[in-house]
Amino acid sequence: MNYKKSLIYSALSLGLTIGVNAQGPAYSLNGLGRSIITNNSLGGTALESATSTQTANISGYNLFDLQTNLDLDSTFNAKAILRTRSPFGTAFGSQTSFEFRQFSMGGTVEGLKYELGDIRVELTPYTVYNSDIASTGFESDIFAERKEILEYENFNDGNTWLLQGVSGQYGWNIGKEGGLGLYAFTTRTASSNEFEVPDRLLSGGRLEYKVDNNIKVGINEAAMYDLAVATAEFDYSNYVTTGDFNYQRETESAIVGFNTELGGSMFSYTRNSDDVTQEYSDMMVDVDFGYTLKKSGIKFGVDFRRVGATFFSPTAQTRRYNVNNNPTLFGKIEGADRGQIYYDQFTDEDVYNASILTTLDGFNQYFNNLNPFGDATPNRQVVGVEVATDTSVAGYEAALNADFGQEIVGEGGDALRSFMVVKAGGVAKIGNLIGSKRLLNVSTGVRYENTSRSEGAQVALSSMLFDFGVTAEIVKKFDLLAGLKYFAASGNEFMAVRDGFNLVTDFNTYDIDVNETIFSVGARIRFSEQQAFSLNYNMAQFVNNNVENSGLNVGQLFFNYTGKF
Amino acid sequence: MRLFNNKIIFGGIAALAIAGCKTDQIGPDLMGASDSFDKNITFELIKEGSPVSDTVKFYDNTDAYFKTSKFNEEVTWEIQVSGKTSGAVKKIKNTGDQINADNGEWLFGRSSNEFFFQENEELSIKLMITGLDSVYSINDLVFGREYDWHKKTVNGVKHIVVDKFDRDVPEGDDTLSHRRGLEGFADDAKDSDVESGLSDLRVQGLKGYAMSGFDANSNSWILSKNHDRLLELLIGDDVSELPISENVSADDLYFTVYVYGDKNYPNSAVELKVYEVDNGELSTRQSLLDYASNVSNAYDQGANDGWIYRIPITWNGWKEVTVPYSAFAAGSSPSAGGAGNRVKQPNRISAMALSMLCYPIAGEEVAATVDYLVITEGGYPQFKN
Repeated sequence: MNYKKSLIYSALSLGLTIGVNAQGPAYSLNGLGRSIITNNSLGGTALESATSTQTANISGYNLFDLQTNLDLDSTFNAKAILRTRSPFGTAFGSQTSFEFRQFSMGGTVEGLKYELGDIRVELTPYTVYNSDIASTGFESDIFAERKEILEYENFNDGNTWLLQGVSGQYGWNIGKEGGLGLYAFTTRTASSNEFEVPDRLLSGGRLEYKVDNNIKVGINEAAMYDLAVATAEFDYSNYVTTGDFNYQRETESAIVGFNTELGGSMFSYTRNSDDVTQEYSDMMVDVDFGYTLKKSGIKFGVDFRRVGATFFSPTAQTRRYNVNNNPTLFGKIEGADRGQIYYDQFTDEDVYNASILTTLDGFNQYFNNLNPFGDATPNRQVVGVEVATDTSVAGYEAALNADFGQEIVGEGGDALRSFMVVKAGGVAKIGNLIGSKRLLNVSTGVRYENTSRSEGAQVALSSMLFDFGVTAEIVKKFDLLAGLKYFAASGNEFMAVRDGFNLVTDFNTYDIDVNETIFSVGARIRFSEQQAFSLNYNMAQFVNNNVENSGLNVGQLFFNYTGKF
Repeated sequence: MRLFNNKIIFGGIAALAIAGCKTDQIGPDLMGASDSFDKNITFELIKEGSPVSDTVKFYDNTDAYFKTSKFNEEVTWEIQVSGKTSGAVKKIKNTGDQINADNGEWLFGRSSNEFFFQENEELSIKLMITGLDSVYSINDLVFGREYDWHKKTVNGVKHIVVDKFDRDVPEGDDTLSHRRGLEGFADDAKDSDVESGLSDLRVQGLKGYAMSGFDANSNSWILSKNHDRLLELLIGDDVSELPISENVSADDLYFTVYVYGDKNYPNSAVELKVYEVDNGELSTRQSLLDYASNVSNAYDQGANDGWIYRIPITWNGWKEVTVPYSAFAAGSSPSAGGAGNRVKQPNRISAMALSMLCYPIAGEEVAATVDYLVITEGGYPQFKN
């Protein structure tokens, strides 16, 4: 179940602060430096007869991102990030690369805030949204630090997409508490090669009306469309429009929240080779209710969503993680692609995806079958309940989620898949509980998923992810960290194969029975809030029980220095 | 305090009702075999009414189909035919209680992937049934002489094979007399490391045609293959035998070639060039044929139109590339195809050329391989299904 983040993309708040003061020119620098060195080894039964497979290597890099910020006055600012990156082991910077990692300009003119260049875009989970990868929600700090590196390298920031284009925001005050905000953007998600690929644009925005401090309503739009060239292989358009209503009221003892979003999509795709056009549309609805007890800091939630089988919203359904990318670390075994294991999901920079895809790409159902494309996953109706602590509780965090889902339309027949996902976990902040200033956290979490279809082409698939972690500050600002992940999946499934029209044309059958255990231990020195050095050792042990001699053991000694300024 | 009023509740219910509209089944039928499925079935390939025991030929007879005995229940099945040397794969998938001529048809010896089956290659044929571990096979079959697409109309699309790039000599009489292919060759003497020739990298037939070189003089052009006299496409026994139809429009005429790209050579491009005879004295198809058939007549690029289209290669591996004639641009050089009437006249097309370019950025090393250059009328090629 998902508690929506604020649906407002700051349009209203900006609109209500018209009348900025003029500033003098200002120039500032900030950035990030990172040095990573890894010592890697590969073993296991899969290599028993291997003769040409690399089994050990050392790699890494040094990088420095220098961000320059220029603020002429309130009407214009610009920032650019210049990256210098040097692979580990090259002599005197011989393979050092220089590139502009990010560049944008913006400002505020007469209350209109504008932005050009690399802009971050986010609306709602059904329109524009970069969904998180499925997890227990309570993984060890030692793993979370690795994932942070991948997210930074792949431009993930919250649930935004980084796109190139232009955006503008404006707002009007209405009454004492109310206001009207408008946010609009246009970006280019693909560029034409002046042959078979046309330019593809994404345009959209949000119009929001704040009735008072309790009620807001909004309309959201995300439109993707091609600027066709004569030789283009296809002509594509997809329009998503939703409306939302948000209600929140605080009483003496509780905070009550009610959010709903309702909308639809319209898809059109013309294949120019035979002039075949497919058009379809569908609807979605999401309702959630939250009730938080202020005194205890416990919140309860109930959520329902129903997303039609042909509801398509590329900017909400594109995943940040690409299951088809072969990992960089020991990518080949006897010349063949190694393929991903769970360890790669949070350690390999090259398995992530930063571009918007117009078709639903394949996904490993055994990692996440309920919502592989986020809340906007089509052909799902899901009821969820949640009990969790809020941020006011200092000594511990805990959460329990249960989602029960079902397909709306059968794949390959009338029979419907059923889904169940249970997540539970917590962090005991023992340092806080015993009144110590030292960091001492113990975390654990589990995610269990079951998929079944009892008629037609029967499905029985289950998976479990378990997390355990310890962070102990044994000397001031010197932490020992340990983490354990265990992943297991077994059963059978049918993976849908989609064509350019996003239509299912085939099913690939597979059976699976895999286990993977990952453990990590290490130490971290926090020089300051912005700088840390860590050294840890990781071991991932994978086995596919359906394949003889499939065992893989990936060992990795990982050195990381990261400093921000 | 009342948290919600009736309007909000009603609105929510209405929203759920709207979103609840049901659509059809997703994807093709999918039905697994139950535990009681009778595994004792026959599986064979039928051609001309009889099971094929050794070689399946499609050259002059396009129709074949797979056949099984009747299953005791409906299941989803898939037949995979794989060429052991070509890489071609044909997939036929359906759901039912028997495979027969209605659902197991294999027309024209077509494949489902980019590769074509090769003459005399051994086939691997397997039948798989969803939910069943058993795999049924037809062994020891050979793919015989392939279907000749030249001047064949399939699904309303007429195919004209320009060059298969299988040999450096004319295609020969086995397919069509006067069909000589792109026998001419020219390269830029000022470029370095220019190499070209038949290659084992292919999608159709035995060979493809590899081209590479360094654009040392930064003029973009590396090499060209072309019809030798630039009049071959106007030669025939009579006007009815001319490959390109008299009344086809530029919007309905397509040029297809398979191109193998290598991203290590990012500025590689292939240029297609189409030559027309614009001589106003040759006003009829017969006069064009007579002119082209007289070996003493030569094509004058300085008096006619040449239409070009540049294909930037942005992919790795093979890709079928199709360009409508309407997208071609007039050549700009007066001495090389820019001196005609500037009107696209498909019925006056006389020849083709294919060039390797360093484009859009000149002065770099480039490489590409091409195969199976085909013109179609009425739509894109029907090679695949």
